[in-house]
Amino acid sequence: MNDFDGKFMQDEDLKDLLRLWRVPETPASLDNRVAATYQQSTSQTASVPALYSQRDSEVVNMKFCNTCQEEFADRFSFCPVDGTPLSAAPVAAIQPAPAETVSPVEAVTAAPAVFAVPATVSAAPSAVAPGNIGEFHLTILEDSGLLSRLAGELGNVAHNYQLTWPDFKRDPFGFVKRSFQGYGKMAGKFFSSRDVVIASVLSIVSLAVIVGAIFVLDKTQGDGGPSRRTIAIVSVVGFCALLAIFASWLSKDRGAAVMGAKPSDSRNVLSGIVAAFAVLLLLVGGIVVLDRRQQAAAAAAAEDEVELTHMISEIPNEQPTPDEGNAGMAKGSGGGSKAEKIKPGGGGGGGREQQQPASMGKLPQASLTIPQVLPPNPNPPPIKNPSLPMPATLDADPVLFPPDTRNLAYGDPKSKSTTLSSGPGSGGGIGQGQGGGVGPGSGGGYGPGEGGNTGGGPRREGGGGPGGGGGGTDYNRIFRSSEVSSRARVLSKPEPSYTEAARKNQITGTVVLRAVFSSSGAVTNISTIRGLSDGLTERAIAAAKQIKFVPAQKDGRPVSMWMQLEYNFNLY
Amino acid sequence: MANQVTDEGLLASAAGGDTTAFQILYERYRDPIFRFAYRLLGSAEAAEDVAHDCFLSLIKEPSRFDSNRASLRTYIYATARNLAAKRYHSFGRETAIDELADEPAMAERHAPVARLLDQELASEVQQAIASLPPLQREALVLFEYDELSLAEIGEVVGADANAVKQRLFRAREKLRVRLERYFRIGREAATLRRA
Repeated sequence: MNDFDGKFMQDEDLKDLLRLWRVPETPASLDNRVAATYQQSTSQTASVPALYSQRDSEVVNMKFCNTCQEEFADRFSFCPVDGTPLSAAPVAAIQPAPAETVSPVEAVTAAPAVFAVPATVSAAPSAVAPGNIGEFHLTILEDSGLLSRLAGELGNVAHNYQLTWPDFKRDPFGFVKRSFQGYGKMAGKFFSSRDVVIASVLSIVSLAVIVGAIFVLDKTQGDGGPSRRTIAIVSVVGFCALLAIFASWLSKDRGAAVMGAKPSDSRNVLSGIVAAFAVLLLLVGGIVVLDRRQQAAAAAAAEDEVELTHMISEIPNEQPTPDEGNAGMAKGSGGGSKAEKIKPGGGGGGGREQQQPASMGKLPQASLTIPQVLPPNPNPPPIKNPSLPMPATLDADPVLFPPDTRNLAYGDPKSKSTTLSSGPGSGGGIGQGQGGGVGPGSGGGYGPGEGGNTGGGPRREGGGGPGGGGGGTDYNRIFRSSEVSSRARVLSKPEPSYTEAARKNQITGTVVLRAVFSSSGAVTNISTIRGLSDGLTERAIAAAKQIKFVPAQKDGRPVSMWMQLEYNFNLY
Repeated sequence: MANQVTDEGLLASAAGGDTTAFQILYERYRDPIFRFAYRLLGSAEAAEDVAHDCFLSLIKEPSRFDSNRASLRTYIYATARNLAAKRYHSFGRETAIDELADEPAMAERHAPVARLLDQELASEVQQAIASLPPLQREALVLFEYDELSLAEIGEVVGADANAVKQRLFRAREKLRVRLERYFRIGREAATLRRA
């Protein structure tokens, strides 16, 4: 290394500066994710010995060609390559390798809990040494693809029909009759085989059971039809049952004979049967799902006979105005009967020094103009022949307490007690406070606070007009991500392209934009936080406007949400 | 001793189902790969994804590593680099505004003045490195932070050592120009830290 290199390597000033950039700690979630992936991977590896053991039976049934030194399946009598008669291949017993392998690091540390897998799993790959499976040499007799083979078969069919066309032309009825007789004989011969009959009956019965189960469920669950979960469970159970039946069947090496093939083809037969049943089950499932959809569509059509007058091409931005709520009862800043917006204050309380807590009930009519003569009482004394009935009242703003028409005794609406009681307070009202009101405060109002009215603190008559307190949510405002129930989800995000000028001037970096993902599905209010020159910022803004997304949702309504967008511009 | 077992030996054992070997390998490279990815991408979330995918490739396809071509260390860095490049090519990201405050802050272990100074400098350094072209940035990160040799960096990024040296030189020149006014402060901050 020369002097230049030495200086180059020891740029201490720059190194000091660079060291200031620190990265956050590696998150613990990374450990969990990697551990989960590792365990998933090792559990898949554990199934390898089972596959190998299945192949052992095939290795036994091989024939050997002395000329080309290759092994072929047992069904071949002559070598497909050179025509030499085949002899039985010597069967080599598979000796499983020792299950325990000595790891170079076994003695270092014990496996931690996050990576812990069953002991059989860790030793699984060494249970059967792949090298010992070498007795099975795969010889590919036909390497053409599925499509080319299908084309070949179709070509053969066409050729056959070409040959039989003159015969058909000469005597069509006789030809058809002979064909039917020939195919009928073939089918009769095929289905007269005992194994074919067993397999066919078993398949039909199994499928009939599955379909029957689905339709029985359909009937028992009324018009709504079976749930998707039920269909899925029935399908999975049926599929597993079939798989188990055929697996046990084939393990006896009888299933292969059912299809007229040799035992060495048992895996192919098994795969074929499983695939056939999977397709059939999918078909049945598809029919059921389609049926359900049609039923749902029919039900919707029957219920909804509204005439379509016009289509709305764009979703309106305007959201339904929320319920205004009970003015002043929420945490709003206004509320009450005054014209100007003033937060109400005050409260009340009372009680008749009873042992039971105040009982649940409605509030009496509130009024600011009529002084409270009679405090509320859950258990009013009967008055015989009253000449001037006097209702109980609450010294509070009536705008804040709309009339309660329920047939209930007076009480504290927030109480859970059902035993009629005025509560342990004093002064004649209800609750644990003092005075003729309801609640823990003092005075003739409601709730904590003093002097009447409601809202807490000293008495103050509020205002702001109806809705000043704001009981509902304004869905038209722009929300933060913590306030929405589901965030905006980006569906497509076009990439911005480079401008010629920027490419020429080697401009690279990141454009940071701030934008609103609006409830109508458009990206609006785009502002630049960090830009780049030569038109790259404009390109980024243009790309941002083309973002397709599902708007954020709050309480089931689409709402707008602030987002920050970063676009990286790089030149390589 | 654990350190005496080579990375390649550990990978071979891990491929054979040895959990302990994989765990040792993971612990050796967990932090370096996360830091490397973070410095390339500037996002802890993206760096976590890259580190996970990097180890995933080791778990799924350990046979892809060829010990005749490179060491496992450079192989892992190269995998992480390719994964990071793939993410980087997806052109940025979108973040909810109020989540930006959740970005990790600096370690609070210095005195207040030094910490403020460090924060400002760190932010400047981060932006300066982020403004470098990707090839120069990865070379600088691998050399300065991960302390790989020029030859190793060459293996990771698929270039010869001279090309790497040239990229490093250009990266440093750009940083030197951009951070020139901070050199004196950097020295003071280093002195403060040492004090």
